Amino acid sequence: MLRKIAAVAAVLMLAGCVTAPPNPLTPTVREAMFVKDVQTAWTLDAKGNPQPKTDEDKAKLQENNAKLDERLKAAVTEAFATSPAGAEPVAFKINIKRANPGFLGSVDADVAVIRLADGAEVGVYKDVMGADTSGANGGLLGIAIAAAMKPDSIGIMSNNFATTLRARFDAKK
Amino acid sequence: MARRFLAVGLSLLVATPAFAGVPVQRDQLTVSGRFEVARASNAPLKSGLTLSDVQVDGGVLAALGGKPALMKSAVQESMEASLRNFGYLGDATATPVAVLVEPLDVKKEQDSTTAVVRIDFKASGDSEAARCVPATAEASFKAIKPIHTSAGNGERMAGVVAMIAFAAAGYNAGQLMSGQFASAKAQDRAFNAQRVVGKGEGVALAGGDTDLLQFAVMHATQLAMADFIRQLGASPCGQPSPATTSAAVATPEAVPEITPAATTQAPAAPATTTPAAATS
Repeated sequence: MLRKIAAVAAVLMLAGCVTAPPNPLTPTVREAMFVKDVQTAWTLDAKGNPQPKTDEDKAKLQENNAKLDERLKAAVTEAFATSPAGAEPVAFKINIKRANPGFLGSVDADVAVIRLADGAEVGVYKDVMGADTSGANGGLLGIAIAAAMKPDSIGIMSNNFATTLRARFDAKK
Repeated sequence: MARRFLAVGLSLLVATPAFAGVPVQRDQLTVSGRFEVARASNAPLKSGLTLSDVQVDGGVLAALGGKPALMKSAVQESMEASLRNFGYLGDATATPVAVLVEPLDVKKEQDSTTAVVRIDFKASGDSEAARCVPATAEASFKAIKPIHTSAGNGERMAGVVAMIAFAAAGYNAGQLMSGQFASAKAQDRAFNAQRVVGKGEGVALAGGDTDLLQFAVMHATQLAMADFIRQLGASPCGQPSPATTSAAVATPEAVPEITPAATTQAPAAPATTTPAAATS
């Protein structure tokens, strides 16, 4: 739990001080496309990912990762359902590098934009983060209360990921 | 005690934007590549049209949910973007087309609202492209009330309970509550997206009367514009020239004759045309 709290604190601190990387797509390219498909790929780094020791933990992690996969795709599809509204079909390929699904969990992925006409990669949004920071603004007591409420952490971190990606996509520079 | 009241107040303030309705955006009205309608293949329609004047009925603008001037811009920009997407939008030298979005026809039922949007088009000049522009496009869309799932309701309840518990401890739980509500909404949308609906129907994102009307008008406007583009593609002008497709059919008899009867030229203005006062 302490490790998770430290990770959330790090996410919150990073969110406050890190400048977002430049938008890899120009406004013209963005306006010309529409998102036809959202895919996921899992290439988890050895570091920063949970290493379950028991079969039970492994099964639980697999179940949570599957849920995260489904919710991430749904949230990103929803965030780009009507916009952009161009004529060029593209796919978003979410390459998940780190995932800690669960309470105070987070997910870190690169999102590649693939032009479906020729399969070319037109840009990559690197290190898009989504996190469940439920109760974190209330300190340790806040986190304890939030934990007791059993929030839908995987849903919250997936929606947060989609919101972050949308903000990066809409960024003027 | 004051601190607790302040925390509750702040929680409500932060949570409020999650429920407020938002005006329709240009992209939500635009006919994108998701629609399978034909692209302009050759002259005179390819890059042959431009919008000269767009008038939108006040009722349509009000239904879209924003300030009338902003909504009118959104409608005009979406129509230009739609024509551009399918290769019909030209430069200033192209044939000007005036657009009139007529008053809505709305039918409310217990769990749905159906809107019919009719758009009139009038091309100026005597160009070949002007003769190919259809006079009207029309579409109907039925917005169905969403179902709140038990999973979503549970999350909403947890959000409210958390907000009260946090407020009692003197903390602002707005972030957790809005996160829970967004998650509940996502659960509901995922469920509602799986519901089987008919052609020209869809499950709205929220179930209020205004939400249903907005959803129905937004989609009906977009579908009417898609109908216009479909008609442009089906017009004899939009077809590849017989001379360039096959020598066997390149005979004078095979060349489609463009007559007022064969095309959908603008009829004389009907008596029910929107009064100027109702448009903006």
